[in-house]
Amino acid sequence: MTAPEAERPKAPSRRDVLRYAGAAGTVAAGVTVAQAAGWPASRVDRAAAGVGGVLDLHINEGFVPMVDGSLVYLRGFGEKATTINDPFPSLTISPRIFFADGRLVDSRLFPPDAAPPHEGRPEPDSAVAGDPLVYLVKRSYWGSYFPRRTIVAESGSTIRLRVHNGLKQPHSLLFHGVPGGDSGEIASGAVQDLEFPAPPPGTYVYSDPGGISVQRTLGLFGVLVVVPQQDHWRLSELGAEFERQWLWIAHDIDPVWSRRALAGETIDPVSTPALPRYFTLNDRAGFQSVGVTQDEAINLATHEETLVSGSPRRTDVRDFSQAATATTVITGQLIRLVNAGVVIHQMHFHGNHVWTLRRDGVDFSRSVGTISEEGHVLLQQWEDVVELDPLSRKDIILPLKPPPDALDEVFAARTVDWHYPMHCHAEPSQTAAGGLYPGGAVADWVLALPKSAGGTP
Amino acid sequence: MSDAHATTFATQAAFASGQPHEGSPVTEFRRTPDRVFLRKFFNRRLRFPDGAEHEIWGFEDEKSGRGLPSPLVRVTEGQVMHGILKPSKKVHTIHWHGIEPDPRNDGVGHTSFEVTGEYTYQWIAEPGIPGDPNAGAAGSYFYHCHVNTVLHVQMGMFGNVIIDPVVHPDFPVPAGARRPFVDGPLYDIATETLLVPYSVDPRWHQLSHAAGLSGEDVGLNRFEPKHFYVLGGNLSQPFTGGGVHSLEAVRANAVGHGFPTLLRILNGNYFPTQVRFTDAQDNPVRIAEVLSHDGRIFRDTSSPTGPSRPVRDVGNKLETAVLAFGAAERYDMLVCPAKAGEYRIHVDLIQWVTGQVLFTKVIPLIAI
Repeated sequence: MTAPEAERPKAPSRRDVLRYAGAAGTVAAGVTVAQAAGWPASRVDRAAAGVGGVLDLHINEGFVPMVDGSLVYLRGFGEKATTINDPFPSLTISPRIFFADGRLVDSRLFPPDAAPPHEGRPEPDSAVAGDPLVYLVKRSYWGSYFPRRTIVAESGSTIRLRVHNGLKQPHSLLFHGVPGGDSGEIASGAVQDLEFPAPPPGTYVYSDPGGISVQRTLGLFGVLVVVPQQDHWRLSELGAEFERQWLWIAHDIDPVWSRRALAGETIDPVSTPALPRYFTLNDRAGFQSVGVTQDEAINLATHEETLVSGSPRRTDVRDFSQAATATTVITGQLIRLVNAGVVIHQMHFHGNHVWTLRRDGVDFSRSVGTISEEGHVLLQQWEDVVELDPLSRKDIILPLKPPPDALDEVFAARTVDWHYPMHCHAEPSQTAAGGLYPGGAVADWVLALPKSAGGTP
Repeated sequence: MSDAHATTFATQAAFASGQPHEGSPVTEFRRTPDRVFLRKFFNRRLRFPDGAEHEIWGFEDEKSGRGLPSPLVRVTEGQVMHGILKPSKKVHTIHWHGIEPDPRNDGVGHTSFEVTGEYTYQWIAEPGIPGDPNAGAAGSYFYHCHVNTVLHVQMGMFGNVIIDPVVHPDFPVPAGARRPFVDGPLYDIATETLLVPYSVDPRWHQLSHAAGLSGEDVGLNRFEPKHFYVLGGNLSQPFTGGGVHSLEAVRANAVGHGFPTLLRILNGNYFPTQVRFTDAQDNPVRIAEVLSHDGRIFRDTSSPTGPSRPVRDVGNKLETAVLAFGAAERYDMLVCPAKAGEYRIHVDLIQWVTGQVLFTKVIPLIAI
C-alpha cells in the first residue's frame, strides 16, 4: 500500500521509470531505479543479474499507510535493514528466482527472458477459424509478473536464505509444509542461514509462525512458488497448462494488534482474537487494487500483478492443452490463491466460473471425488466462490470464456474491454476503516478486446 | 487503461462515494422476454421466528408482499430473462450472482452503473448438453444488490435464483419429477426444498443506505451476529404474503418412496456455515448426496475428449453427513434417508476468525 500524496515523495512517473530504466541499461532495469526512489518496482524488471545465490531477508518494522491513509505499525521480511523510523521501511522483498543451475535472479517477470505482457495482458496469437470472436493463445510465450513477497524456485533448485533479525524480540521463518524450511528461533540481532531443496511444484506460504497467527498478521509472511524446471507454463510436470499465471495474496490487518505489538505486549490470539480493519490483495486494497488511483505507477503495477486480463477463448476444462501446436494452445490463466490472513475468505468471480485444480499442494482428482471430514468436496470442479481458509492455497484456472449467459449479439457487438469484479464475498472484507466499500480485498479481471480487434493497446 | 478503468480517483473515499450512476439506461439488444420479473425496493420492519423485529430492505414484486428472502426467480435454460429493477428513491442494482452476462447486466457499479430510475436486466442462462462440462447453467444461484454490498445484502436485499434445465430427449422427465441439470437424476417436485442460513447483527440494521461510503467509520468490518435463522421452505408452495419465510421442517422421501428429494442450500451469511445430517439421536447419517456447486455439476472430467458424465453415474457418488459452505456458496443435493422416520439437519454458523460455532439451528427432517 502506498502513502497519501502529502506524506511521500513524488513517485516516479511511468515515463520517468522508463527513461531511467533505459538510461541505466538492460541489466539494472527499472526495478533498481524504482527501489532507489523508495517505490515498489512497476516495470518489466527483467533479470537483474543475480550472483552468490543467497537471498538476504531482513526482519524489520515500520509504519505503513493503509488505503485510507492511516499509518499502521507492521513487520515484514524486507530486502535491506531499515529502522522503525524509516519513512519507507523495507518490509517486503521484490520477487526473486532460484534456478536449478544455482542462479539467483531479481526479476518480477518469470521466466525473466519471456515476453513481457504489456500492462500484464497477453495478446492472443490469432482468431479461431470459423469462430472469429475467440482466440488461440500463444503457447509458452508470455511471462508472468509476480507481486512483492514472492520467491520463485525451479524444481531441482536449492533455496538459500540468510535471515537477519533486526527487531528486539526473537523471530523465526517457516516455510509451511516444506521439509527443511524452518529457521528455528532467531535471537534479536542474530543472523541465521537456511538452506533447503525446493519442494515439489506448488504454492507455499512462508511466515513467522510465532503466536500462531500473530506475527503473520503483523506482516511477517510471503509466498514461495515452485515451478517445474522442465515446463514453466504448467502448474506441475504433468499439471494444467496456462497462458500466464498470477499470484494473489490475501492479508488482513488489525491495527489494535499492531499497537499492542508496538508496545511490546504479547498477544494471545485465542483470548483476544484479531478484528481486522483492513483487507488487502497483493498489499493493495480498494481503488488501488482495481487500478483506478491517480498514480500511474500503482495502477501499472496492479495491472501487471493482479488484474487478470486476456482475450476470450473456448477453454475446455477436460484438457488445458487443447488444440496445442508448437506455438498456440487453448487454455486459460492460472491464479494461485493464497490466504495469508486470519479470516476465511470467499473469492467470488463475476463473468466466469473458475476451475479449481488443487488445494494446499494436493491435486484434486478428476474422477473420484471425496468429501472431507470437515465437509469440503475434494474434486476438480467449477466454482464461482472459492473458499480460502487461513494459510490455505488453491490453484485455479480462469478460463476467460465468453460469458456464457450473455446474449450472442451483445458479445458480438463488443467494442470495449469487459471488466468483471472479483471480490471476497465474506463482505466485511470489502471494507476499510469500518466503511469505504469497496475498500478491501477486491480485484477486477478483464475480458480483453485484442489490439487486432481494436482494443486498447 | 480503458473504459471501466478510465476514471481515476484521488482517494478511496472518492472511489467509494463516486460510483457511476445512471437514471434509466437502455437495455442493449433487447429481446422479447420469455420471463419477466419486477423487483421493487422496499423497507419494512419484519418479525422473525425468535420474536425479534429487524429493519429489512428487500425486493418485492406485484404479488410477493414484503418478505425475506426476496421473491424467487426461476427460469429454464435458454429463456430470455428480464429483471426490471425499480430502486425507489435511492440507488441500487441487481447482481445475478453466478449468472454470467455482459457487464451492463451484471449489476456492479464500478464495472457498469448503479441505477436511480429503472433498468431491465437481460440474460439467457446457457443451455446444458449431456456429458459436456463446459456448458449448462442449471442450478442454484441468488440475486442481490451490489451497492454498498456489505450493508445492503445483510439488510436483506437478496433472493434465490433457480435455473431449470432444458429437457434432452435422452433424459425424459415424467410427471411429478424434474432434473436438477440436463443429465441429472430425477427428483420429486413436491418435496424440493430451499435452505438459506442467515444471521443478523442488529447494529447494522440501524445504518443508512450509504453508511461508510464517505469514510466515516460505521464498523462494517465488525459483523457480530446476535440472531441466527434458517430461511427457505418447500419450493412447491410459493412464498407469498410477505414476512419472514423460515424453514421449519424438511419433508423428504425415503429410499424407494418415489423420486428423491432435492435440497438447495445457499449461505446468506458472511460467515461460514455447515450442515450436519443426523438421526433423531444425533448420530451422523450419510443421507446427503451432493450433486452440484455454484450451479455447476460434479462431473468426471478424466477423459480429455470423451463425455464427462456426472460422478454419480460412474460409481462415485458424493455422499456425506456433513457439508461446509462459506458465504454465497450454493450446493444442490439429494436427501435420501434409507427408511422413513425422523432425522435432523443441524445448521451451524461459524465465526470467520476463531472457528467457533456461534449458533446452531436444528431443522427436523421427516422421511416418509
